[in-house]
Amino acid sequence: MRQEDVIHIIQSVKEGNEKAVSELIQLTIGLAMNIAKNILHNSDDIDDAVQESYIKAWKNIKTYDANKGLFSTWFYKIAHNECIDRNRKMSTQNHSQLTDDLFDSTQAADEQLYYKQLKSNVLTISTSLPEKQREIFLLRDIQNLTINEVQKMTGMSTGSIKTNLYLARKKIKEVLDSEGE
Amino acid sequence: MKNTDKENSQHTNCQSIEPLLYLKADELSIDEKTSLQHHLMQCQSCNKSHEEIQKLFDQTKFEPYTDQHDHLAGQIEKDIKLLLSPNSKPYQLFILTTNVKRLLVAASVLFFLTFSVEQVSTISRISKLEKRISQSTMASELVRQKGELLVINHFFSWDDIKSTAFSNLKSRYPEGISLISNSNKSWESWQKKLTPIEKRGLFIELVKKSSIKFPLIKMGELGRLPMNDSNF
Repeated sequence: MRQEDVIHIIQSVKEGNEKAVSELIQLTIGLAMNIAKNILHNSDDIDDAVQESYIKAWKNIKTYDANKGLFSTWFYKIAHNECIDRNRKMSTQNHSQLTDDLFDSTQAADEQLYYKQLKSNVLTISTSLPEKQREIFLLRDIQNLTINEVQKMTGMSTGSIKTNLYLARKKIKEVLDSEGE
Repeated sequence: MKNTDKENSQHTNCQSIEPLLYLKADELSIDEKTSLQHHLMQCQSCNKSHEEIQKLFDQTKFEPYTDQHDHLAGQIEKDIKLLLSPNSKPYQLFILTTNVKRLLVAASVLFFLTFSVEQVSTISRISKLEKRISQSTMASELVRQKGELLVINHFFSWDDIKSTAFSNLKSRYPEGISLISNSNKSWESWQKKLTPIEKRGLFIELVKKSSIKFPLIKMGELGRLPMNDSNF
């Protein structure tokens, strides 16, 4: 879907069009779930975080400026912050429980936990990328759009998309490497 | 020499090829794929980096979310529609709480401003009053003890003194008032012209004025005041 269509839907949402609400949710729920699933562990928490992200997005919808970036990038930040906050609260509450679970875990579960943590770190690092790089990274690597789809969505050239992808991924790798040292 | 050139050329190649290392296979054009493969066969370092990067891609691959989320989407839709509906209780509650919050903020700001203004004004009034009391006490004490007239050394705006007694004085002795303003010595000769009642009137005005604005009072410049006068 092109950015113009998304803007049209958001405008309709602001005007109280109920059909537009459904459309917007269908468009973005995959992204929200993807973020939540890669940060949170419990399925109830995931659902709650996604629900809360939408409520927050709706309450702040007037602050979204289409000239400053894609709606998905704006919503991504809200959803990511919500998941990180929730995860932090849960970690504090369930610290002892988690520690016990870790001692009992199998190797496969350890690996799963490691990859989940790695993805969560990637998501967190991506929020500090420059706007354009974050936008392209989000569309291509998180939402799994093809280069052509990203091109349609953003109106950028293939070369520019590839350059932004290269810079974003390089930055993420550098931060991950420095954290791992 | 030839080796160095070769190394430099290799380094340049590595720099130019680096962006391709960070792209996934389906993102590369045919030309890009060819030049990348060609370079990777020649350069061990880039080959190693490429493997590391591709491994990281695999480890951090975000699968498209395909699970059924109709129930959750429906629930969210319901929540938002409830919030959107102007007749809905949550919406009304939201508007109400927002307005109450705004009102509270506005009232707090207003209260704080009023309190600050009142506080400053009260402090200023108290300070003036304290100064006035202390100067009046000092003037009374000096007059009682030494029986001397007091005068302000720095003559300020004479026009500020509005009393009838002083207006009469000014109209009778305009040159005298002017002299006082400029020179204390001139005052000594001029004050001889004043009757005791006029001296007293002038003194009272000066003390009044000084107790409000000028703490600095000099003694003896108006001569002695007859202390037994009932007007004083």
